[in-house]
Amino acid sequence: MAEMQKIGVLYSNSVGGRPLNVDFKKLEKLIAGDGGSFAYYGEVPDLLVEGSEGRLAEVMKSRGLDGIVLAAGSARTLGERLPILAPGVGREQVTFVNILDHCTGAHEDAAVRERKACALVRMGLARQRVMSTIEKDKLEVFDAVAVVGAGPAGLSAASWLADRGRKVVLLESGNGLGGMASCEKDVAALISKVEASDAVEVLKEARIEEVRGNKGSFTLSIVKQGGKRVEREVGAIVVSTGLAYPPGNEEEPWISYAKLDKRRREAPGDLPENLGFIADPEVVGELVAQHAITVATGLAADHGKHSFIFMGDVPVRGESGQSNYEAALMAGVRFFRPDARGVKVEVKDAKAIVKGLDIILKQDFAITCDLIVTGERPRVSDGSRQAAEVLRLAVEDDAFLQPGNITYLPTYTTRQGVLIAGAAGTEAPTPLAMRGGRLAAIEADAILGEGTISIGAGDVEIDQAACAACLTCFRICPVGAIGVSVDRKVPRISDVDCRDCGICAAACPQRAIKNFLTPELAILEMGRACLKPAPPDGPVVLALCCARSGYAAADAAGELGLPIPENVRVARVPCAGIVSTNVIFGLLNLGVDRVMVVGCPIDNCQNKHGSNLARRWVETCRDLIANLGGDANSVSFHPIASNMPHLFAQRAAEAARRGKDDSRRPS
Amino acid sequence: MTISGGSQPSADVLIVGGGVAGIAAAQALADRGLDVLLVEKQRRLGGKAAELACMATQQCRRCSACLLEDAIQALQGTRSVRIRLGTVVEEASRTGDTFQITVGPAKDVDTRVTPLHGVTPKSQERWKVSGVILCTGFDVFDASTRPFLGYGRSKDVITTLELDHILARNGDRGWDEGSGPPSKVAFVQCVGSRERKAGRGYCSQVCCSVSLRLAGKLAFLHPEMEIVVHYIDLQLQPRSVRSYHASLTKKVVFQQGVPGEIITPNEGGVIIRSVAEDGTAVEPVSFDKAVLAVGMVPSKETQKLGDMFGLKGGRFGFVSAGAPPVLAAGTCVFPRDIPGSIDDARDAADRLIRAISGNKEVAHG
Repeated sequence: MAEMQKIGVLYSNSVGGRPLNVDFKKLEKLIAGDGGSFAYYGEVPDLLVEGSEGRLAEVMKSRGLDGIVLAAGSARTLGERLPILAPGVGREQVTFVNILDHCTGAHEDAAVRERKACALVRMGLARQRVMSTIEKDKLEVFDAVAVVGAGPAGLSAASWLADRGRKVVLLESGNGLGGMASCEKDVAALISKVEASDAVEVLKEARIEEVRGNKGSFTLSIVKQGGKRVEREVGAIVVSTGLAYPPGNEEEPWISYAKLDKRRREAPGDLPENLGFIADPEVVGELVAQHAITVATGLAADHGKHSFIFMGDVPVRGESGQSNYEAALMAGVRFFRPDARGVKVEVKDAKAIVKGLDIILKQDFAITCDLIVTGERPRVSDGSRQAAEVLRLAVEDDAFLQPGNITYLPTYTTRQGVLIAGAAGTEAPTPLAMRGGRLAAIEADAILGEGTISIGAGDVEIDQAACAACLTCFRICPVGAIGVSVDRKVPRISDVDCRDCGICAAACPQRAIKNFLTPELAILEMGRACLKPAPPDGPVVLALCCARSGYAAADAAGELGLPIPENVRVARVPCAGIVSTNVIFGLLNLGVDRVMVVGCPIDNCQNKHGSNLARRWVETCRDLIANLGGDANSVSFHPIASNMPHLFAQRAAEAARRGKDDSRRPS
Repeated sequence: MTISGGSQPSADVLIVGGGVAGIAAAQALADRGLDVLLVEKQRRLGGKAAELACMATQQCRRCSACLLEDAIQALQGTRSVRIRLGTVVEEASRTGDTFQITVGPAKDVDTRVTPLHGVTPKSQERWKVSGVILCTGFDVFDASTRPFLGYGRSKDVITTLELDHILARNGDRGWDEGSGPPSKVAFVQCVGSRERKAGRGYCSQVCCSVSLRLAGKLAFLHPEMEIVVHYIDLQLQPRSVRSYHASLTKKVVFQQGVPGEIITPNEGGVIIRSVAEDGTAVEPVSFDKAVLAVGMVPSKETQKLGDMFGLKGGRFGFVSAGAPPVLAAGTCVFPRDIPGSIDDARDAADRLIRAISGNKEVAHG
């Protein structure tokens, strides 16, 4: 197959108006002379000028090329613009060689520039030769969304989706909608809207018992009111299970928020006149403190109650904090700011007297309240825990469900097709929870799309004979694409959920995951190609850079004109996590003197565990090399984010420097 | 999309400002099939977030600055976003549901930058649009307007942003030319924020987490460094910052109360004088560097554009979030962190889409 492919090298003399200053005519001979083979070599004029769209595709078509190496600018600019520059040309058909940044930007000497360009184009050719075209299949998706939890986030998601004409199954574990915010005006409006909507099926006292299927085609077994079981088919799931009401003292005159809300919903008139709220944010957390202000304001404004709030600091963070505070003052809520000793409560004749010293007024106060509302720090709800278990979502250390990894923000979870919204994910006051619901709804709507979903050709599979069922792949998959069949305890990869990052294949100790090995092979081929033309000085350093972090930093280094040594040859890899010990030793065997693996900082990898795996593999290699008496520094891992070009240049210079043992590697 | 044949180019939405918010709004609109004109004054995308360094130690500290690069990459593949760099909105007028916009080359921008992510027109262009989102961002508070902090008088008083640049430029080592890293560093919080008397009673939202991450990064790079953070009250949000703070308390001293004065002796270094709660002076303490956590203030541009598009009623000089067809999002509305700006911009885009498509349905029906 590889021999059949016609690969061309296309170059551009300038990118975005910036000249590349490389003699491409001369380069053609250099590349060919070093054994690089291509079916066509020619120029495409400036690629970033408006109106240049389609030129690339024209050349490919007229020359009958299967794949091309584009020697011009970065994959980050040109690659992403491929659908515009060359409509109809697949991502897999093009390898980008960034002459602009890695040669023009980094080297002043024309001879060095050309040698580097030659090596990079040869590496590009090697890579393109192994990449095969991946065809996409279409799969039908179910035209409904399940929203789990009917608090502010869930209601706003359901309402958004209903407006958009989607069918919604809204599950609520309790028997009322609105969650902790049921008495707030915006939320009350959403409740009536959702209840009146034909598009939303509300299931109360319901929970998901089992989930089968994948993104686009989930089947949910739901236990609803009275223990009845129903099944629903949905394309996406929004988890908005929120927080539990903060637990509090229930013995009157003490009352918890849950009980107060219940009484307010049922018979607001029966509530007594004077209500005190003890809610110091330092003790109960910002969320409960804000909740206290909202509830106190509602009772004062809508039901004419006297509300007193006792808190040392008023939480005024964010616009909602600021405006809630002002609304409270407008409604006549009285704030007392007790000093560090807090307040003392004396109960007398079923009434509470709250005493303390106000630091603002600098005087003592004693306020008699009919009810005293208290609550502890909020807990993640049982619903969240249960949903996480059934849906196989990772739970963070602090029990929230929003993965700490920022590349998952704001709605993604560790499972494809399952989105997170509101306070189940992270501490979110009502307005932010509602926004979270809308953002999750937008994502869910995109998954449902026009009714079909594009998937890979489905050739990724686990060799069942080789699999030892260690479940490493199951644990490290960043998107929950690997499931374990109950009967045979063997993992299976879902074509729909898999995003082809390939770290499972690299991590599999049995090498049992097939068809992910293409990127590995491509790296080895690039390793072979990067050796020529040999730099006149120093060891050949292959920098394998994560497309998201290290490669972007390397590009930016060139853009800034930072010196990258000639003997450092930068190659782009989809994720540092695929550079396993096999790959590293393979490269050293081919004659590469040093391997730099450049990935995201730990915990920042979009494939979650990729950078951590990369670091571990590098450490393993270093240990082995050191034990064999070699130079452990011939292999190194560098976490370098996309915005750290100077750090990249520095590390590249270090790696390129001649070591004491010159460029010898362990034999 | 640009219409050929000499007629005026048009887009569904004009976005002013190509920082994190503008990029996120453009992407959100384009993902749902709208044509976007994105106008950015500088010749590169990214705004202020592009100047920030990565705050990772061994581990990601969730400063989120790298989300910008991801967003720019994604936007490159978005066919329906026309990007104009080094360009400003010169004029706008409204007739019914349509805005006539004149954009032209910006003056006083860095022309050495190659505008790789978009086009830089040499002359004026006139566009028709149906909606507008302002994402013009913030200005950094000018610390030299508070002479008692010594900023501008001594190279040893720097801002958090300048410290960010030091860390970004020099990788993980080196400070001033010829000298090693300082051994004692003081952070001073709330510079330009929470100044009720100056009409800025608001919290700039991000400075506590910014200083915390910077302090953590310094402590990681230079374990010997003594670091003190002077604060009014620490805002430990989002929740990841809270756990980071807990882990830092062993390496960094957190001291309540911001200094009354920063003295900058001629021989270098700084002396921090503070006043205790009871009014008595505290023994002055010397440091090698003082880092001022400068807050966010409304940008002049925002005010001008707000007037141009009739956005009123913002707080503290920021613009209001507006109502379709004219919205504002990100830090021009109120201080926010990077993920907060992105979410806000996506939400604004959604509001506008629903308003515009609603109108279209009415028009078609």
